[in-house]
Amino acid sequence: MTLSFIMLALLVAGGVVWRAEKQWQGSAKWLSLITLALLATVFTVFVMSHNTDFTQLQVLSRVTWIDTFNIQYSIALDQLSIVLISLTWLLAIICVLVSWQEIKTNVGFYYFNLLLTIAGIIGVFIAVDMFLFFFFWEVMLLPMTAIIAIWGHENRHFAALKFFIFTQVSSLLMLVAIIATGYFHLTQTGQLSFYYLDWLKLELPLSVSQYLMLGFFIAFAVKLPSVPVHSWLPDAHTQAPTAGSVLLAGVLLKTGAYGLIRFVIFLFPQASAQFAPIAATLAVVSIIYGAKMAFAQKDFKRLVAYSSISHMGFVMLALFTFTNVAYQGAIVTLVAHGLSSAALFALAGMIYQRIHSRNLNDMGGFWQSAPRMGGFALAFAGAAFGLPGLANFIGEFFSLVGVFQVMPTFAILAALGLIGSAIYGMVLFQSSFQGTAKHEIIDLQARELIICSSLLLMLLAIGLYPTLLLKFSYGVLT
Amino acid sequence: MMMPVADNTPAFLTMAMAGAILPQLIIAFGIALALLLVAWRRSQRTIALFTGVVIVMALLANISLLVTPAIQVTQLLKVDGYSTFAFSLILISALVALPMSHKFLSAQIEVHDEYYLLLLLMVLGAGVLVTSDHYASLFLGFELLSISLVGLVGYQRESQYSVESGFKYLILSASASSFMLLGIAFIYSVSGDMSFSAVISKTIYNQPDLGVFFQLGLLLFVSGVAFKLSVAPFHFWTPDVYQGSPTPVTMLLATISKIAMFVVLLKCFAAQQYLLLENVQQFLLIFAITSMLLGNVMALKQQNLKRLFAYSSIAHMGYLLIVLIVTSEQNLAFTWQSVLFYLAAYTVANLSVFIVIELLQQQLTTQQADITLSDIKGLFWRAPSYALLMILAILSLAGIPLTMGFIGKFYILSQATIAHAWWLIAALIVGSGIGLAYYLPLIFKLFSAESSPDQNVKISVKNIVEKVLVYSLVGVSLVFGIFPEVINQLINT
Amino acid sequence: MTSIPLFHVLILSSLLFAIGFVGVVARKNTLFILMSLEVMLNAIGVAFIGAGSVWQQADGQVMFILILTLAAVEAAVGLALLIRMQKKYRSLDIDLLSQMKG
Repeated sequence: MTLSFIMLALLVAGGVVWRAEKQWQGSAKWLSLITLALLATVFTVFVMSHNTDFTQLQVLSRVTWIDTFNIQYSIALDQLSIVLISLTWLLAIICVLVSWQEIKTNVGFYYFNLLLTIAGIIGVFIAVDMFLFFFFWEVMLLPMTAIIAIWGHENRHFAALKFFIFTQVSSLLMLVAIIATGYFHLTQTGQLSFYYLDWLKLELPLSVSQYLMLGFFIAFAVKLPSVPVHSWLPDAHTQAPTAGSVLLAGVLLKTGAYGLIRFVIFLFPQASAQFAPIAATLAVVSIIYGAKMAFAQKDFKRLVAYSSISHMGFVMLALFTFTNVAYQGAIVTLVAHGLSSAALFALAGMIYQRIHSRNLNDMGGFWQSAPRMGGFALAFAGAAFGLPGLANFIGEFFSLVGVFQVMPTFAILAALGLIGSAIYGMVLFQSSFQGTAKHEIIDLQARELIICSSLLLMLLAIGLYPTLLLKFSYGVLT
Repeated sequence: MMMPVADNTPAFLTMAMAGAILPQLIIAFGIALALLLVAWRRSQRTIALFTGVVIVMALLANISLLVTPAIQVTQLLKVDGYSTFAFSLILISALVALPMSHKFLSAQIEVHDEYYLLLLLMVLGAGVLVTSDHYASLFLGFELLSISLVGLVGYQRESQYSVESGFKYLILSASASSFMLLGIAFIYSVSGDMSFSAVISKTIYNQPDLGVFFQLGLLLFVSGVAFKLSVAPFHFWTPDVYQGSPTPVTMLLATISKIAMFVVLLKCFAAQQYLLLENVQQFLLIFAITSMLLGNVMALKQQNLKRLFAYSSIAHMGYLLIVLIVTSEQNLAFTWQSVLFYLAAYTVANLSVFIVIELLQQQLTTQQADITLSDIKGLFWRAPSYALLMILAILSLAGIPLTMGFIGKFYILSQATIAHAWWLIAALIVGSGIGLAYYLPLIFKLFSAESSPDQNVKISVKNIVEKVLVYSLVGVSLVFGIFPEVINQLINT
Repeated sequence: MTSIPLFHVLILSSLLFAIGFVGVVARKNTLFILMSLEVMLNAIGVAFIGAGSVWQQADGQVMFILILTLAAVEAAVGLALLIRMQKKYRSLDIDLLSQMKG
């Protein structure tokens, strides 16, 4: 009930914010900030005061929706979704802070779309009826595409179109898989059901389940993204406004990983096990390809976008090893990557606001005029290449340990990717902050300081004391 | 010597039967009275109002029929829940097209009363079609629908395209109905019974000489119907006629004729179990896949909005044909549900789109010129309600959740998945993907910032009727997209 | 009186129909196109009459009356459009009607 209320509140708040901006200029961002903070607190209180500890999936509501297909509005929480939703709240607030000065046109409508995207993302993380999941999966796309298409940079229409079409076509494949599994449930038990917990009890022969798994896998591989369906990501990230990139990289990519864990691996364990070598190969290719392409980029955001591909390759590799250590690593990487790439995109946005360019050739020597920004940039670049002390290191370390137990060659290849990440991390930092000063830029202001320091604090906290996160994610595998 | 008439039902018309076809009777009497009205007083408002009253009365009578069981009215007509639902859709479309037509016609100097007569005739034809149970009534309804449409398509004398599109539509439609008639003639000559409920044994198909004629007849019949449905490869008239006719007429073309034809096709095939024939399935398969792919691909480079939506309607009919191909004896009820829901979604979307195009034509251009993609640039900032309506309609056509169109696609995919029709599913996915490539840029255009000075013409939703229409359509597509059970219950009764 | 086999009637009807159809497709003058449409419709009428006679039912002849009605209506509408075309283009050449492209 509370969660549905939260999503509805976001929707209503979006409308209110949109109208309010017409009356009082500049009210939209404050209202959004307050709403998000408020709802995040409601969520935290709800989770803490609930009488279970969410190691198992706790179903919270189950209401009949479309009777003809026995589709229900069912939502549930467990520790995995709590972790990811918390990340969403944090990044949502960061998004509002990042867009504070950046969005100048149609501000009310922008915050409407932002709040709606958050509502959709939360819906994705809590839906346990497959139809409802698909519903939210698509719905979270719409306002995100609007954000890219309306407030993005020069090539935004093409980027938004590509983003949408890639996701939509793969989602249709997933829809076919969902329907097929639902009707398989019908033939097995005599009742049509799209309920996740019912599906967990299904006995699927391998010949059938490998195709079903593939349908789901393709949709999540596009979202993750994984080579070869990754080509929407660089364009979407580069052309989106800063908050769009933060949300995309920080949260939307995680929905792909969430889908892999929750649906592909848990629903079709045998088929996943059979598919694991292929998935692992794709993952390693993503890692190395992402790193190589990142190194070659001249656009700040595009470089970070390719680094996302590389990091998510680690996640996929870890997930398909089916070891506990690797799962822990994957989840930590998810959170860490969310935080670090959000930070890097925020930095990109800050630089863009100052010099109106994302091109690395236009940058250089910013350390001299903005040492604070430089410090943070170094820290976040370090996060990107897995500097110990920051959360990404924990994630990558655990992942590699897990992978090495099962597929040692892949672990070695993935480790090569680590070297690549160090290279592009340093390239990023050096091109922008070291060398001869091309511009004089203003150092970090108060709002920007809040953004950067909060993200860095989280990264350090998890990096130095990972139990903070691990005690929530340990129960996932069981 | 009296030739016995092939008939075995009681020859008299009971009260129940008369009640069952009351909506059609109301429309028929309405037409007669309208003729008298035109003779008495030539005023457009009067006859527009009268037509509205007639349609509303017929709609009310129709809705009260939704709960009655199936009744066979004479040999020719059979009124069941599905046909009542379809007729409701048709009446609602006519009702929505009415104020649009009125606005469109009052902008002209002459008093155009015959338009409303033709509209009522069209509705009557469609009503006969959806309740028909016999090839003769199918033919009657089909022709009534087609000829009225020819008159409506070529209605606007001053328009540069009216003669061309009117003639194209007449010649192609007449040829198509001839094909269909020849098909019926062949089928009749081999089977001896023109009723849909006739039982035709397998041996008839496989007779040495005449069996060929039967199959040929079936093919011709399907071709004739496929023309009306604008299914590839019989779609060539669609873009030109959509573009050349006045926009309210396009609205009627896109909705009423498609609904009526598809429902009667489904009725005929379901009753006669034609779908079990191999050849028919193969032909329909080819038609469906070609429509889905061709319709979407050809729409990609269209600049004219009406032509774009013409091609998209070709693709949608392709999607609907999937349901026809995969249906089987057991899940006939589910097939009907899918078809009717998808038709409802498609109708709402098309009505919305053409309302916006019509309103734009009236406010933006002087000579009812064509609306192109550049005309809708930045519409969201100038007239948000129109843009919102258009966005919802396009999302529905693209099959995005939150809209009725998605539920319709879900129905179709479910049917196809149960039947393991993988090629059809693949064509649907590819077609939808291509479809997005022209639907989304439309939406993006709506949001783009204004650039040219002549775009600053203020657009407003002035008329109260327009406001009601626009907002109620927005409401309908959203509400039924999120809570489709209501419509499901309606169809199932 | 020997009865004509149904097969022959249907073949005759098909031939007439084909003649009409070729006329519709190949003719340039719209008036002749309308005439060819009439030929098609009457060919169908032949088939119906033959079928009705074979099956000893009145349905075939009823359908023929309906088809005649249809032919009349189509001719009326077609000729109305013809007159409009003549007034606008001063000619009845069907190739003039190809302004809409794409």
